[in-house]
Amino acid sequence: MELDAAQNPNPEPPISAYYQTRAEHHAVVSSDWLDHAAAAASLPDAHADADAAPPPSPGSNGGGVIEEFNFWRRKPEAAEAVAAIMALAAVIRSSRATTMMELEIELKKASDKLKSWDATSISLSAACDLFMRFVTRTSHLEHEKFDAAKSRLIERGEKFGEISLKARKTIAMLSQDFISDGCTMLVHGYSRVVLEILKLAASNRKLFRVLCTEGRPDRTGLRMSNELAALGIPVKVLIDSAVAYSMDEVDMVFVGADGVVESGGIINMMGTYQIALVAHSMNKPLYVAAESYKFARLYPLDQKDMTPAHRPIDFGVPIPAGVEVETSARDYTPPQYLTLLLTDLGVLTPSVVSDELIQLYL
Amino acid sequence: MQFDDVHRVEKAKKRAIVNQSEARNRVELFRHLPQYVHGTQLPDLESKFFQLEPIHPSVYKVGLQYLSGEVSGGNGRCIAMLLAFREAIKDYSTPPNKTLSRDLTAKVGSYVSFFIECRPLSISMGNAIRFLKNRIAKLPITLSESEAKASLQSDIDRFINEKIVVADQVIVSHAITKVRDDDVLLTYGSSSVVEMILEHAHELGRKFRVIVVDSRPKLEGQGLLRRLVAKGINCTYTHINAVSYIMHEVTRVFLGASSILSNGTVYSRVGTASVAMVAHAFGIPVLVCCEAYKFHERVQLDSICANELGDPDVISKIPGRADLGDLKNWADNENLQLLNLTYDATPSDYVSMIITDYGMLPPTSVPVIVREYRKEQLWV
Amino acid sequence: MPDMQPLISDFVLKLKRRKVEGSHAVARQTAELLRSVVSQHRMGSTNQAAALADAIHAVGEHLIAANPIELAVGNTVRRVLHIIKEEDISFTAVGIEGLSVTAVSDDECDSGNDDLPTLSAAVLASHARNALRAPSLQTLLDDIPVSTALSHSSSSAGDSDGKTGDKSLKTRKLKHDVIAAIGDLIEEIDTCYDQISEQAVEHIHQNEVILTLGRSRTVKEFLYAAKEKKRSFRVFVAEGAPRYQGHVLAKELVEKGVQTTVITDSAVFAMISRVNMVIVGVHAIMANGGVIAPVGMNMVALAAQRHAVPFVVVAGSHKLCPLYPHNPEVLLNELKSPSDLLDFGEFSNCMNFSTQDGTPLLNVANPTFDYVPPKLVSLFITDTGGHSPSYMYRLISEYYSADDLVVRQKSTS
Repeated sequence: MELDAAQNPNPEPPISAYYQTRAEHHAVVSSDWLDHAAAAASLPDAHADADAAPPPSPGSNGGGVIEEFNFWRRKPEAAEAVAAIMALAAVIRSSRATTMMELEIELKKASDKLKSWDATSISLSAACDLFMRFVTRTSHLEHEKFDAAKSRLIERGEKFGEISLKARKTIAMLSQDFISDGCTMLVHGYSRVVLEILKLAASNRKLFRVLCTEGRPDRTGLRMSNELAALGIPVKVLIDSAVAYSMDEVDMVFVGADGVVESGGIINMMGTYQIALVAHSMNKPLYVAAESYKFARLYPLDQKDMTPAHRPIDFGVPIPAGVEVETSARDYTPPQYLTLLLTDLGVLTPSVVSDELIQLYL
Repeated sequence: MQFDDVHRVEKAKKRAIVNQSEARNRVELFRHLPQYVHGTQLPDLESKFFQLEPIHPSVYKVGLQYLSGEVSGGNGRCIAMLLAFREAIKDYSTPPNKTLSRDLTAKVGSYVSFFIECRPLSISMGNAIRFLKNRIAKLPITLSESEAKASLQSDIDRFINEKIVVADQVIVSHAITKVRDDDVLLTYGSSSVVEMILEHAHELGRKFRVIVVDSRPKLEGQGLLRRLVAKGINCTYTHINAVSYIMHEVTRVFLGASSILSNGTVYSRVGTASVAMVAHAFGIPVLVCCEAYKFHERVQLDSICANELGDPDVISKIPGRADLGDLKNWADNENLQLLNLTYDATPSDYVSMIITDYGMLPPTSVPVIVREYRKEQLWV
Repeated sequence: MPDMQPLISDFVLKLKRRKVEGSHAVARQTAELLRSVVSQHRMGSTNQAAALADAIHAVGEHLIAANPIELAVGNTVRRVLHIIKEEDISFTAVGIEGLSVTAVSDDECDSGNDDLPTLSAAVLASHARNALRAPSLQTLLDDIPVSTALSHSSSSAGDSDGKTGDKSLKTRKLKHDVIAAIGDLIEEIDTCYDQISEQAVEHIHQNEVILTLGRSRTVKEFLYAAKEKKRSFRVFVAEGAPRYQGHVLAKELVEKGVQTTVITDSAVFAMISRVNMVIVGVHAIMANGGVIAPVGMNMVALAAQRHAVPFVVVAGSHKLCPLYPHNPEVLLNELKSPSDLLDFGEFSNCMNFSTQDGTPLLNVANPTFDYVPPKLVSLFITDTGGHSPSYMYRLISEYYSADDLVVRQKSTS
């Protein structure tokens, strides 16, 4: 852990690595996004380097996993889970293990390293766990030759990017029934899945209106509204605190999720819980669009019962001396406030999440 | 009176003017309430009219109207009663060796018990009777009989005018500010003040739609529907079961009330609580319109301790549906009871606003109105 | 199958004209019709299961379109499709197993390592089994795409048939199995009342006060069963305007000596505070645990929730619908004649009024159903036992295959 911390770009936790990925993928007008963009522009060779040669590290020590993961997570279309599985597949590829057992041990080490490198990311650890289960199952179920099994694992791992994209498409298709003509929906921040849903609905010529929260402090909602407006969807941006005010004109709420936990609740960007409470008290349905690989064996009891992900917050003005700032990037929404989960496994009630997880890990 | 106390019921029977027949198949939970007895005592009453000299003809007439259901509704019944009292007072002359205030109070008391036998009093009527008795008791002794009678008659006129007619106008003027264009207003049953609000809003040219929700067995909403449509108001008619179906389109719910009790409970036509509950579940504001004279300091939590039982027989009969005769001889089977409740109690948390002649108030302010109302000189 | 056509169109007509109503009758008759469709179906030499499923699909589409409100039609069609798949798979597995057993020696556990056919058969069977179930996290990374697994397996079934040679026997076997399974389904639909009412004594205690709305045969049988077990209880029946089925139920209950009180629908809220349990029948149970029930039920459920009275739904599993209620009030409802509510003779003078744009001033809403969301339901009692609303998804995945959920769209495309 100490050794890895040296590789973590932010050794002390004020900014979580998980948050950085989000910022790189989603942020639009925040100053730190601009900084990142500037940094990326000034270091073109570093990226070109990474592009040209994905970290070789044939010794397959932990460092390789993380470099690989970092390489993948910078791709804008790739979800963090995809990056994690790609990294693990790379570990298998470069592994010198000769039996399934050895390979499993090696992978376990790599995945633990990856998970502890960024303990804040739920989809990272969920994806690692999912892949590990797949490895175990493959080695148990099929009495194939080691090489065959290994190449199968690599192939499936590398296909995961496609699976992820397909999952998003499936969710978008499933959710079309929920969008009726003339409805108004509220979305919170930027979510790739939700955007996919709305894109498909718009291309199906459905008439609907979207209210988009601003998503402070990253203003991810602005990017969302920008993309929706480009599709010709009527869209209105709200400041985050106007959710309760606007809720009576809303027919349904769509949110994405960083992770879906054992209880069926979700962990998502800050403000989701608040919106869910408002929607619940005004009897509006709240749909969560989440790929099934985000199901994680976590069970937070309350907001503080999870690893906090911190992020910098730009208030625009200097913060008065002696004033503390809440910098958590996400919150936990318990299942009783969620109406349905739209996943690539189908439309699910929150109670199915635990069922799936139990079946997977039993 | 506790009607489950056998001795008291026996005693009351002996005193009764109206012949009480035993109600059959009583519902266990409601034994404490006066059981509805079938309206066949009308000829009975008529034959007694000539023997029972003390009842004034106008009082007698109103009593019969209560019995037959010809006069109904909180305000209607109260006004009819007060006008009957006014007639009775006009024709009143103090018997020799008696004082006016004592004798008249006793007389009013006997009229009231006659009314009760025709139909249990509403809370608003109770309040009006209390007012009248108060005025009689407070008459200055110096007044001559004719002066006293004139004073009482003008008191009654003033009560009707101030507490009912003007109060309704004030309520309408308040309520109208809550009706916007393109609103869909839902009302239940038939409330005279809500009807006035709707008509006035229509006269002002507001564009809105009304949903009239009705329920068996009284189907009072049909009368309201007919009058509103005749005025050119766009109406949708439905029954109470469909209230969840229709509530999606609704923007405001306007309800009338028989009485509002001190804990904010709205005591009204049975079904009002269900409508308010569904509206609450859909987040639609519920506005209860009620004149302040109907407020009462009593508190009530459920609809069982105090209620009025209607004719159970009307439940078995469905007008216009001859095909449904499953309950024809219901009284023959001791296992079967029919229950026709008249009122229910709507919990105050379903009510967004109470519109009275004192303005638009939250349900928590009901005890304040009851307190202030009593302070007013009319009550002294 | 030209000889089936009159039967089918007759049933379609019955559905359209609402001559057949009520989920039990509809489910039963649909199952019977599909059974005769299967028995009349001419089996091809290859891919029989798929052809049979297509035939059912085609008929089912018509039936569903005839009366989309009767969800039991769709449920039964999906059940039959599921049956065909199940039979096909067990058939395939048996066939392949038989094949490998004859080909290789008895000791399959050890020899499996180097025997390719056995391996692929096992894999295939597992995939086929997965195809019946909804996709799951477990299979997320597996490489055989879920949808192709079935056709793969059934084509291989055809192959194995070809190899063994006794084609006609196998064909008849599959058809026979499917028909037998549909027979079981019909029996299940018929006996669901007994199965449900067996559980009555577990839920009704002495001196219980029960409220119900309208009439449901399931509720009636449930209460009868409790009465027969010498439980004494009291029932409040809300009459269920404008169909007044509550009167019928009250009459039936009284005949068995149950203490019954008929109340108006408006008095439900007033009475519910003295009620221990609400027991109702429903029209359909949706995949999220919500129910489509006779109109007025949402009001009853809300009142029960307010007073913390358990709201118990009794329903046979043929009412279990794998669909989610999208906009249930409008899409899954049927507006009946306004004359149930208003006597138009009396109101004829109101009919002349109309606004400038030609829309009538007087409208009447007479819906048939209410949607009750899952959070208002305390318990489902079905023929397979008691379940909480959050577990309904599981029952659905047992009864239906994931790819049959949309019968209509699939067959039109």
